[in-house]
Amino acid sequence: MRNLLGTFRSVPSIAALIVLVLILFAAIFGEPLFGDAARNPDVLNAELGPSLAQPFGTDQLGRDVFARTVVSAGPTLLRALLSGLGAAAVGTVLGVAISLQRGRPRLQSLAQRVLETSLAFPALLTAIFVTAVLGSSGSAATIGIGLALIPGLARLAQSMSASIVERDFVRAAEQLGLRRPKILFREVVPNLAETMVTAAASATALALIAVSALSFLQLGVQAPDFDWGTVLAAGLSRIYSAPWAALGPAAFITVTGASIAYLADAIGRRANRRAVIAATGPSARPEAVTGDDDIVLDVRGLSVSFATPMGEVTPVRGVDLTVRRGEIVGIVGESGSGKSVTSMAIAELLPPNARVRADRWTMVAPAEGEPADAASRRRWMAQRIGVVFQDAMTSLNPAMRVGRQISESARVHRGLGRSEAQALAVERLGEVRVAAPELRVGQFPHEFSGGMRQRVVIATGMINHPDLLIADEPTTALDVTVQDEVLALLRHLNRQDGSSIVFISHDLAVVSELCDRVLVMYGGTIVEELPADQLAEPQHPYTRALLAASPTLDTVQHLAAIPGNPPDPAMYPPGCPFAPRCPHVSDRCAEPVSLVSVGTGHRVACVLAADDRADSSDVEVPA
Amino acid sequence: MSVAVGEPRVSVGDVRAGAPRAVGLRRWARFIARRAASLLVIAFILIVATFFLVRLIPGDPAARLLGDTATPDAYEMVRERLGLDEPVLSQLVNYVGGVVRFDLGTSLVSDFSVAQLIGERLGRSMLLAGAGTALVLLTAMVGGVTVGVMTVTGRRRGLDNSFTVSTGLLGSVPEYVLATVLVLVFGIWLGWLPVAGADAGLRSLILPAVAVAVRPAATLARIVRLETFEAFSQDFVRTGRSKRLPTIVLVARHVVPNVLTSALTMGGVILGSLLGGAVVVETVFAWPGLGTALITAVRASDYPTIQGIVLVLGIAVVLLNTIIDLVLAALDPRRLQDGV
Repeated sequence: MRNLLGTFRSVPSIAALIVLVLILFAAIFGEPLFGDAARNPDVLNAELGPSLAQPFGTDQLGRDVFARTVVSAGPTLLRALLSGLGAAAVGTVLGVAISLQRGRPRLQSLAQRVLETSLAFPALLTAIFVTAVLGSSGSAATIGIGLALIPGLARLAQSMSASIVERDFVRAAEQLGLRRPKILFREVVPNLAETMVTAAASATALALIAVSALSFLQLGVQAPDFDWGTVLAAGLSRIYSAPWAALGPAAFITVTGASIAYLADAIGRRANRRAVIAATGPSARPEAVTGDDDIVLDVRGLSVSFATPMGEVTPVRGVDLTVRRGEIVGIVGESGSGKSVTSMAIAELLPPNARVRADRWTMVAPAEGEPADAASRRRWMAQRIGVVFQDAMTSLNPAMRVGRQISESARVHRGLGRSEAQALAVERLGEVRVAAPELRVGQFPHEFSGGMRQRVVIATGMINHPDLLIADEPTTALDVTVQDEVLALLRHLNRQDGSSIVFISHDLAVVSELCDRVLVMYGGTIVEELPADQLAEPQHPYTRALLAASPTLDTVQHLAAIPGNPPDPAMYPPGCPFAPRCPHVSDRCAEPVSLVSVGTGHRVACVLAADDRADSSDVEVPA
Repeated sequence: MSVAVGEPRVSVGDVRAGAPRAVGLRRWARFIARRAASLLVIAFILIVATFFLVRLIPGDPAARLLGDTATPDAYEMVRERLGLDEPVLSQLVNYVGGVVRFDLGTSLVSDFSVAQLIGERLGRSMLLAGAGTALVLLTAMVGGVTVGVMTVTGRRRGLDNSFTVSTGLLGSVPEYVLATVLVLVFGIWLGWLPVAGADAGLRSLILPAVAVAVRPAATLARIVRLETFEAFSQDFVRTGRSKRLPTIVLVARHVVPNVLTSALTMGGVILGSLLGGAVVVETVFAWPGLGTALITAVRASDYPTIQGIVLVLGIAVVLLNTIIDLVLAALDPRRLQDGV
């Protein structure tokens, strides 16, 4: 309920609510207050202009147009509601009935096709068709508009309920032998309710305009009855001499329709909220440095925060990352550890609600000097960083030929012509070991297999032979054989071009095979950093647990799951993030802990490791 | 499994031998055949439905047409003209036979051939619907994508709100109000454009086209904006960002084509609804299209004309959607594989 109130807190929502309340008052009290003024002709005062007492003036028979508008609010709204709600009710039942026919696929697909076709049929035409059959009257118009609205609503109910029907509880109800109508009303309809209520409101707004349109065409309400459509039509016929008599009722229809539609929209948005929230401030950006060409990327104190409806969360807190030329750095961790966010932050590819902070963030400056404007900055980034994404299927544009996608960056940043770009795409596709590349550049992504598609993504990332390739779980979606091929390819590219790679993975075995150096992330921080060949002897309790949980290293035979769950970025503990799950936890773990060196290239963020180092650097850490 | 470091082997596994072009052609042929079959089925359903229109009328259509004062002779004559004196099945056969030969019967009011009447007016209706839809697609795409790109970051709440409110209001202005106001301002006060008819060529098309376009354009612009948001959250747009494309290139190459498919789908529905649904605007501007003819026929209970117009509009709409399907398949080849 509080959520619902929240929906109506914006200025337009409040305005829309006030309008509807006023119209409701008019519908209820219009007849007793203005009934006489609306109906009794007063020929002596015909066609008067607007005045304080009669804001819209009078019509040809001297009746108060404002009174007529207010009095007809009731019947007009009633017809719109009957059409809209009636159509929603029938449409819901029809749609759900269709989706329950899972046992009869032919019948189901026929029904769907009929729905789609009637959906294509113009609604007003259906309504006119119905008035042709039933004769022109207010009720015929109401029925006609209602019928015309049914297909759209049935279609919505059908697609919504199709997913509900597949859920377990409906299947369970069927197994228990519940009868269909019972399943319908007990299980399916309550789950549909919110969507269909929203749709019914939108349908009512449409019906309001459509019913008025039929009255305007003299196919709806017939004299002496009147509704907004006929009052408006009468006004429109003399709009050149007395615009108020038309514009007044027109405003009633428009504002009422817009208010209903707006509120329906607001409720609908609340139902499937994908709120877009701006970041709290500008993000840090990499600086170009000259001199040391050996370090391709150097980031200190990298933090990333996201603005969310629940406030700001900071899934990455103070990560240091230095990548040397030709080095392959692995970042491992469970999902939610912040490894992907870190990699996307250094690639500057986070969504707009993210804010990146860093104490120091540098990359090698371009040959022509410090990038001055936005365009040269983009060129610099494209030169330095290439990215390989996890899901090759969704990462490629389905409607663009593969060759164009691979070479797009080179065309934009290196000004290559069409044929040069195509030749480069062929070359890169060959480099990633795709056979017959000159044939395949002309194909679309869906014509490739999963492994081949991932090669296309790698070729795209490698197009400019960047200093640094960021590979975000590039093998996770692939089966083991293909995985090995892709890993071999990455190593090959690294050896051949000397490009550095930051390789993100949750798989210790893969990382130990491919990488030179490994960073272990947990709870948004680096808990251990070590050379890949020492990965069999880690010191941080988390890395050890991770190692024990990994089935692929030959020495480890048993699967030891880590008890507990990774911490929620919204409530990181102040001290060591692993403390709540750590078997060696002590009081000191509540204090913040930083990385300390325990050997060559080996650093650990754990109080135990710090102790050992203080006692004696030779003592073996207890396994 | 050990990883062979060094020269990875070349994978030839999934290069489909032979020419991919031939595979594409075969898919297209199957796709078109499926669409054509469903087109025929639907056309048949429409023919039967319009036939039963006259049978659905409560009471006797002839009596309703003539009123209470008709002589028995006149009554019998109308029944014969409507074919009501024959058994229903042979009536249906005659009707279907007529439709197949493009013979839609004769108007009860004017003695004109219905097919001829439709032939004279269909072009005008299509012109108005086409111009209106083009206007809708153009304004909705440009407006929706622009506002979408500008508000996708969650900043500019003011623009966001004013877009929602103004499209909401414009989407709720009835066509006949808008049409009349347009006539008042541009036809009468300013005198720039003709107020009625279709005799002034392109100039007489402008006001009716704007009048039919505003409401669907407002609705479509909102959808396009949401689709733009959706497109921005797609992985391949992130890939585009990883190529460091300038925003305008990113939007033009990766966002717009994506949004365009759904806008075109909607555009097909809008074109269809404008073909039959521009009735109101046609009436205001005295535009000599099928809409005005339909209204006249309904008011006069001229059943053969109503049947003919509804049938032709219905088939036009379905044909249109088939064409849109083909265009969409050309834009997004994955659609060819759908089993629909």
